[in-house]
Amino acid sequence: MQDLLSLLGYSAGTVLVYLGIRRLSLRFNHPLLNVVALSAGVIIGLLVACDIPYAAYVPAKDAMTMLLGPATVALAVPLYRHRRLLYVYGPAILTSVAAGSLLAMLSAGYAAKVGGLPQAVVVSILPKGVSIPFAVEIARIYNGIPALSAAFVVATGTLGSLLGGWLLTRVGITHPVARGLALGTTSHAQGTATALLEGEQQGAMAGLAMILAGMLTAAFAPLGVWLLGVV
Amino acid sequence: MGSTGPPAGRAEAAGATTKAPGSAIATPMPCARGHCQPVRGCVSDKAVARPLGQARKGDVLESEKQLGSGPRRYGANILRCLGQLAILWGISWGCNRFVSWAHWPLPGNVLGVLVLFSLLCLGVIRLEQVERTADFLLRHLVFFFIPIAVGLMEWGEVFSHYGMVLFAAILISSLLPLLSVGFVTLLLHRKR
Repeated sequence: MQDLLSLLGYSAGTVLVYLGIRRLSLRFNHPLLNVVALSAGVIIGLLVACDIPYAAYVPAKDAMTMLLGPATVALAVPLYRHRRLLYVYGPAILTSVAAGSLLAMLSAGYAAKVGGLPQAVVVSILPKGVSIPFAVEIARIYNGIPALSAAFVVATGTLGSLLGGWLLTRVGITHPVARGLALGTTSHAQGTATALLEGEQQGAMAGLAMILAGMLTAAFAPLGVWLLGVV
Repeated sequence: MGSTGPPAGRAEAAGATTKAPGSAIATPMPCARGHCQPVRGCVSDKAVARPLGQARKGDVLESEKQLGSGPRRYGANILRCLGQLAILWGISWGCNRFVSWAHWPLPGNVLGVLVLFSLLCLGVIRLEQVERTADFLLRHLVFFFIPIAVGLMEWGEVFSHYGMVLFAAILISSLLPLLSVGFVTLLLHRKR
């Protein structure tokens, strides 16, 4: 009974924090106002302030993430809605997203390995360029730490949406398809939001690239893990 | 084709999108957030498509049109959403089961996305049979990561020990692929 009550309490608290921060970020609409990072920060702060160990929060976490599976599968719906873009730009999208995903994974992994990070952290940093549902699962399969992966994903997305547009303009990439694909592949949902601010086509392309990058990174993960020699 | 000229594919793609029968992206939308900001490249009177093709609260979806109004509609809506959730859940569960049974090194949900996409393309599942719940779940997708990210409170020392290395790794691996994707796409476009 006590367990059920605390589970409900933690879940309700998480939902409330999420709704509050979501409203804030919808209102101000800035890359630094990241819903995941801010909400998790607030909840960690509350737990630490109330001297509650993480273990007490775990049952609520498990209950809340039960819907993550169906939510990830639901990504097929936008993919299907934009299937015409896939037909028109299919080869370009697949080639560049595949190259980008592989490069993102390997460069992150090598940099982390050279920097002397522990093995589990190196594995967790591999999927840092894809949207969290894929990243979390990839980390879990290869004995990484899902929470760390989520943190790296958010950091990457924030960085990409802050610097991405500026850097692309700087090197002279103005084509809307190229910009959308680049932003979506490297900084997933946050990059997609930035691309959407630039225009309709950039946004649609970034949304497609984000989903494809997640799936391709999952497919390339065995290769990356093998190349880096971390299992 | 130069990078500054109007892309030829753009009109083509836009035409293809508007032709999609009964699809939600065919409807011209006002700005996605209701207040289009004058950002570079964003023309405020132009329809802005949602990046994920999501429907918002106010949108009337195909599946809703035949329903009436009042409490009956409310009940029917809830039942409908639960049914749609059951479809999504079934695919996710089945794919996860299959992947662990076959020992594939692939997340079950990635297979799930492919399965649902194929089923939609083959017409086994129609869009309106999943779109309501799918849109709801996708709108709140980030919620599910908050509890996972709370797990970071166990890993604080990794950040204090290796903060600089991590930052460098993330910076390099964000900007390098960004440029490569941009250039590869441009290259492929010029070739055509």
